Amino acid sequence: MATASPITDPIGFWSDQISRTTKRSLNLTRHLLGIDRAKTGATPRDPVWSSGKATLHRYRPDRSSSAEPVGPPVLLVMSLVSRSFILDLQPGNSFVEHLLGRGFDVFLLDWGVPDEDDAGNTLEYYVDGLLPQAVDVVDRLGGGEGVTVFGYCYGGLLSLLYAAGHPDDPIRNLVVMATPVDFDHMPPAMSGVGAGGIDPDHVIDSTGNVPAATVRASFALLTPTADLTTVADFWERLDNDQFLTNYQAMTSWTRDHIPFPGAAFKQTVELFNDGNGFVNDRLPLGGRQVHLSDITVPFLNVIAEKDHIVPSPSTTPLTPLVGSDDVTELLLPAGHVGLIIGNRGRTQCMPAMSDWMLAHSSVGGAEPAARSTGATTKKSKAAKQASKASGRDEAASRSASSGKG
Amino acid sequence: MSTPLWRQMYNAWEKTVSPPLQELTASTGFRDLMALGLRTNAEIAREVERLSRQWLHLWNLPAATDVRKLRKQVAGLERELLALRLELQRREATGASGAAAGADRHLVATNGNGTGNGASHTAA
Repeated sequence: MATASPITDPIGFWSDQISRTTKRSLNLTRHLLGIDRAKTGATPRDPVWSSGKATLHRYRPDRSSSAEPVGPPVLLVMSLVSRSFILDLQPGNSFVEHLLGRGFDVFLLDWGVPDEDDAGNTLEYYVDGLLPQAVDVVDRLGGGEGVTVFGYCYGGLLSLLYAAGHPDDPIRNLVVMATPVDFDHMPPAMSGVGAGGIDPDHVIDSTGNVPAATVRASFALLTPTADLTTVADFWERLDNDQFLTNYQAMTSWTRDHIPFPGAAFKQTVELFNDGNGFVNDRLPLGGRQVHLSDITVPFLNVIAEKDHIVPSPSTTPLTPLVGSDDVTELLLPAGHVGLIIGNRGRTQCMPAMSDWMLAHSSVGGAEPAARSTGATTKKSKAAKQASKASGRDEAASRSASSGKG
Repeated sequence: MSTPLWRQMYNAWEKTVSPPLQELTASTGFRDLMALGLRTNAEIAREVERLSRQWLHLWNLPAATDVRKLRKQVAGLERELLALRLELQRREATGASGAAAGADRHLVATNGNGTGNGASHTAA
């Protein structure tokens, strides 16, 4: 929109200025008073199972969608340190909504907000305790055709450990998104704990957890001027209603982290920061060793090219470590959160991921999990085609079969 | 619409300041400084907690740490219960043959100190 010149068109200029200032004042008042705030996590859902603070939600199907129901159901596994509504940010800007629109039966495993009762929750509590139960419930409610487990960020780590430690569970496909495995390539603010750096015990507070403020500060340290830039953006574009709605939704997520259960945190530091356990195949869990090579189901590794929280060099080593014959790597031109929100997420990233999932699902009816080599090889080709088709301009899909079949 | 002058100035400032700031926060010196700050903070908190606990115990009153200890124990028991329930479900699912096979796995008891506990299955 061109702005009128104060010299050639003074009336137009001042009328534009007055109109913008009025709009800014109204929006600022609306924002400060909390009137008509952006709705987050608005897709209708029902709790279907819970244990401790964890709740499994099932989203209601999208009745307006013309897509046929697709199986198996998808279980979204969230990180331990952030709120799960990022996966269902706003109507029209939601990964859950996208999946429902394509016919998937979508479940979300929300770990809840830990307090001092949860300080002793270990990785085993989540990986061997809660996840198998949640997958079992999803499998039963989904008709027994298996489950597509979809882990985001730290949720991806939990999903990997679970799939590796429970190879006989009804996992049909495994998708991990922005999931770090090579901790040597993590930003110092993330990898600085342990290994002669910051003592993990000094990060844990009197409740036994890493406080939410510390989690937020560690993210803020990655881009020290980001908060200030967000304020500048807010002030500059305050007259834009859509911007304000998006701003409120996004900041309500980025500024609202949750505590990290102390025992799981210390274990994470030991496993990954100290020993780089995923890359070196040293993953002790509940007194046994688990191996990524034991994951044999179709596998998709989604990498965000512009991720500053989990840089791509920390995620790419994962693909060849998994034992599946059908392995696909999707390198998408987005940031850590941009994969599932915003224009690029909606037009490129989400379709690329759901295309792969569709290619590894069956439309309409249940089909038992296919794990034979022949079936997965065929599926791998389909996945590559789907990835290529959805890659469009920038989405680079790199099939990483890498001599695995 | 053209970018306002203040924003242009901010962008120029941000472009200049951001890279060295990021470099600083990623440096080992900064990490060491943070480690020192966190250690000092933890030591002060521990000392304050110790003094307030002693004072409260002097009057036979429970301190927050006592309540916390109890809550931790209850939470530990809950986790142990979850582990037992899972083991029971697993044994029920595998039946008689599973019961024999289950002998090679045992549950790790909850020690209640916040580490190494949980609903864990262990292969012996």
